[in-house]
Amino acid sequence: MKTLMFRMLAAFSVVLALSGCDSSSSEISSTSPVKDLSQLSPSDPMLKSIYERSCKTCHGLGTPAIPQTGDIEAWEPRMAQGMDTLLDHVINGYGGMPPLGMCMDCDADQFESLIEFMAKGSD
Amino acid sequence: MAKRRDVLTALVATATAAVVKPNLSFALGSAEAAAEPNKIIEKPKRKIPWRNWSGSQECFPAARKAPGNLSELQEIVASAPGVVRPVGAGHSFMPLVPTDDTVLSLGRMSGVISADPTTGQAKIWAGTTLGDIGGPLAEHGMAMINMPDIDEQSLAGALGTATHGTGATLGCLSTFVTELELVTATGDLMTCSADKNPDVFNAARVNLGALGVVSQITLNTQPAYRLRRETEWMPVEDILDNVESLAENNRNFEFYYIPFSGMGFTDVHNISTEDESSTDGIDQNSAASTLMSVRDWLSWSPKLRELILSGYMSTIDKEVVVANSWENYTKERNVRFNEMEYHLPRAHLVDAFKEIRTTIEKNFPEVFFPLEVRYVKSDDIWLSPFNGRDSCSIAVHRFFKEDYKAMFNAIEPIFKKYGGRPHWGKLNTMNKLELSERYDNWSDFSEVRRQMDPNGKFLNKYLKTLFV
Repeated sequence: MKTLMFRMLAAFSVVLALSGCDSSSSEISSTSPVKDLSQLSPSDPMLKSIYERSCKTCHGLGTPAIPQTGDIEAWEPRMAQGMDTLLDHVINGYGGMPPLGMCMDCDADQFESLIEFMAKGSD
Repeated sequence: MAKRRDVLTALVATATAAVVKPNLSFALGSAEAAAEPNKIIEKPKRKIPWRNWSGSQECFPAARKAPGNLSELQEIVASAPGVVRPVGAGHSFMPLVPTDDTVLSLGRMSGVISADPTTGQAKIWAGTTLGDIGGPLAEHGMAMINMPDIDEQSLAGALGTATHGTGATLGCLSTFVTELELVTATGDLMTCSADKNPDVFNAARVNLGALGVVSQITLNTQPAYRLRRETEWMPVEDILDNVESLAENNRNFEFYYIPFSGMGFTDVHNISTEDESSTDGIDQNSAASTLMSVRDWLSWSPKLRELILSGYMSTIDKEVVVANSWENYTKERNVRFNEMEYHLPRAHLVDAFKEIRTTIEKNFPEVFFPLEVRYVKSDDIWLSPFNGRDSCSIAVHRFFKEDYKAMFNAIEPIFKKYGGRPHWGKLNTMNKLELSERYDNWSDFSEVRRQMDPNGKFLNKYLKTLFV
């Protein structure tokens, strides 16, 4: 069985090469996130509260697939899609982010403010 | 682990290339591509929906409220027109939240209020997510007695739906509650415990958010402990042959079965004094995507699919993780799904499981999510699905973008035949009559609910079908 497995593996290495793209490598930001970015938070107390309980866990640190707050280059192509599209992503969920991005009480204005804050790293 | 998945991918590619692919467009689908959301364009400024985690439930509430303290919460509840529905993390698949009126989040009322190692009691804000409890309790040398396998739910939401972990000697989370504080329909505070308003206590420990808004919860805990978690793959028949002894001989035992593979894995936890350690493990989110790809490529040949999956799974090494309990119960689940879970008398597990497996593998080749089986100890809470009987829970899942109805409709009669009671937060079609026949205290709960909320402030459309 093992011999068969390895023969199949060898025979279709080309298929692997074509299909084995690692999704995590496709969205790496061109700039490495700065450590201090993890400390950013909105100045508005209500937005700060929402950001810290709903957004910061993921966007505060960032990953190759999750743009870090204040990583302007990472956010640039996202913002280029337009606020409506980004709001769609929040409402519907996107990748690992669940619908409404963990904020059950946010309205559209708050989501937009938070997206703008994360994209710029400041209010 | 990535290398191991590559081998699986290669095997699948080989098998597929050897035969003409029956459905190229299907085969080209990937989990990554499927994760692209449906675009909803509503202009101008949008009235946005509330949605649950899987996206299967939604509503457009007139008001979304998030009080920052108890008095704000009381004021909101007292003054809100129409229906008020509390919302946690949106992890219920049933329509417990949807309302056109007010959705109320306690997300700002979060954290451990007090923790006393001498009594083992901890008072916690209802809006605290389960994942935010373990760390603060550990600072006091305390720990939750048991936990589910995800920890994103709010504490009040988890208790209100009888959310559970696994363990034949361990009850659902609601059994750890010693006292609850609720904001009633009039905005007043009510405290209940075994000694104080005991009927309300019996009803409120599993309450569906139908009695009031739970604001504070006191829980029994136990001294902080470390868990050794062992994950082991084996033929599902071997698991079923030993399932009772596995349940009896491990503090926490559950198993998963991967449809169309003949293989499953057991997950056991036991208290340990070993140093923290971890072997390589499978990322369950990547694994789900891989299983989806295998489904896409091989659903036309169940036998080949089983051959390849079982061959691959039999090579997976045992995984062992030793860590603090609160860091070792849960795993992140990023691949969304819809779920049906019923709780059955333990004696029916093997027969029910086999019927469900056969039904899926005979009729639903597109299924790739695992079946999950857990154990929960009996309790005496009025609307607990575990009331009066030690139970096993069987859960079936469908990827969130796929239609779950045909499969769940086919499986639910099996659950019912074996005396199952549905998880309150997971998809089921049981009506008031069916539920009332399965709960000895149904009328007791209904009466307490009527007394506490005679005008139905906390009843949305779904809850009205159950209690009006």
